[in-house]
Amino acid sequence: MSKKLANFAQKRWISCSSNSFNMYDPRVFREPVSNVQELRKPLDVDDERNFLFLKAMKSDATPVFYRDSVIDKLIRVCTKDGEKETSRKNVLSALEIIKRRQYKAWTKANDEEKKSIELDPFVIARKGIKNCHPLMKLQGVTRGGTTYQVPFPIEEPEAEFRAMKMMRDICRVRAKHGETHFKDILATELLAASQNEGSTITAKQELHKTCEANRAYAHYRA
Amino acid sequence: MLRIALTRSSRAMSIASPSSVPDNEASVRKIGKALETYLKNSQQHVAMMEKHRAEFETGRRHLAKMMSLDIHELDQEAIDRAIQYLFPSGLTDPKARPVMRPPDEVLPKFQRFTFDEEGKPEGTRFFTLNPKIYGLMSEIGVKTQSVMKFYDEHVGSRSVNKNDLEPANLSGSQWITADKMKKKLSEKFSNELYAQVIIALQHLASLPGSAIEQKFLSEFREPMTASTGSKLFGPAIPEVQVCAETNRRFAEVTTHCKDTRATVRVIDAGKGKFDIDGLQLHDFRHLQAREILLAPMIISQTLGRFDVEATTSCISNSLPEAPNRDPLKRSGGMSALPRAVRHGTALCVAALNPESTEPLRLSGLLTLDPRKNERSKVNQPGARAKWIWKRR
Repeated sequence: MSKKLANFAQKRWISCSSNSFNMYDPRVFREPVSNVQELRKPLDVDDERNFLFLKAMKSDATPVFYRDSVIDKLIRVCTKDGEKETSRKNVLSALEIIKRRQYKAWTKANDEEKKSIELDPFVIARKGIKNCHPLMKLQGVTRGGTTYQVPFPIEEPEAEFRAMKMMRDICRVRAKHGETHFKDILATELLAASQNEGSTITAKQELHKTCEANRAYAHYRA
Repeated sequence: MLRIALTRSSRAMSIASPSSVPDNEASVRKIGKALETYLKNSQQHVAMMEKHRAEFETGRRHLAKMMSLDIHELDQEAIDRAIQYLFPSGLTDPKARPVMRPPDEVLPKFQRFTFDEEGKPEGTRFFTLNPKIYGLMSEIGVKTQSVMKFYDEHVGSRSVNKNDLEPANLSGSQWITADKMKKKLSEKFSNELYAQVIIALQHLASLPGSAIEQKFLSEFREPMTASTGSKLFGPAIPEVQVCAETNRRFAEVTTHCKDTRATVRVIDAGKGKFDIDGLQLHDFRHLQAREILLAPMIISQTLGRFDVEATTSCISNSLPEAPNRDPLKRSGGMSALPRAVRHGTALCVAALNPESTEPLRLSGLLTLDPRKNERSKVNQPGARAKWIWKRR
């Protein structure tokens, strides 16, 4: 019903705030398999995907050996005006900067310290973003004319997005005047976040404090 | 069948069976309102059908004369062609176009119901107005009881077949839709009633021992492939052909992604060369574009085996100029061309290398991407973006 309504709204110019219309009919489409090992294994006989369609593969999901879902998501979040290639260059340059800094520190370190220094920038970036995951989010709920900021629980994918968005906004503000480039600031932020330091971690802790302060409004959760 | 004959007066009836009343005594009996209404409706329906059949027959003769065909040559196919010719319709919905069919196919059917001597309907379900579906629900209830009894009596006994004590096997099928059930029972009912029937059927199918009712349950199941047809959304996997000069196998297919149309030819026994509108793989400067173009070969593990040739065109550039539109925004975008070529390549690779069909299908490379650019609406700058909202 909502699909017909959305179709009608598009054609007849009536404003319609119904459910979003999906070109992939959810009754007959399922998510594709992204893992190469799982692709090789044959499907279970009873599996519903034997009888249903699978959605087309996403543009940045080609199963190359260097695929990293967290870094792909960070690239998408940092994209501006649809320029994904620029964003990709920035993020990968940031990872390269992390690698160079870590290697420099590694060459100067003693033997015991060398084991504790992480050289893989992908691992550092994942750890940094993981440390920035907020546990709750604030959502505005209007009651009787006043909008209260109510803490809500959060799922893993959304927590990841909010962490990336916080980091991106902080880096963009700092890169605004153009003295330092976005990639350098992002590298610093990711390195600091993996050590539980830096502005993004501070911002996350501020968010947690506000959630704690507003916990009385939790009764407004619908 | 009705054992009561009709007289001229609607309320007064005379009993026709000779055994009950002597012939000289014409007793006037009052019949029930239910039967009276039924008879009236039945008479009206019969009369209407007669009229429409006669009209259809005259219509057929006129049509035969118009199309200068012999009346015996005019079967239903010929009638359809003639109507399409005489009444060309621009309507997109096939059900909205004009038809000429025998009235038995098109007009609503009249449900025959049996009444007994006294004018009472046989079985009380007549008054539910949906006798068949309530009858079906009763039947399911009775079967549920019998299945439970069967299981209680035979669980642990050696005389029964072990397979009969399992729940019914429903894999690979789904419950028939409400429309199909209406056609099957030839009765109209509400969606709530349909839901109740499905709940009852589902409960019956879940019971251990319902395998004995497998036949009954499969009457209400349709195979799941019925909903997805050939298991591929978009163009089918093409046939393999052989090039006459070079004696190499190849496959060719035409697909699209957004507004970009692509004709892709994949040739076996090659070196992994690309020729897309004269461009090679290294001419695509974005890494994402190169990843997209190589994806089918990566998944089917055939890197370096196939040569890909493709020609593309953007149809929105060939459309008449829209006055409000910025011409630069009317192409598919940076990834549309590689995605269109990828879809064509994947279909051809599946044709030339059939063992990779299932991995390609599961990864989503054989599916046509149905997403298109969303149109921008009036009073808005784009498809979804709104002007800055001011409170005053």
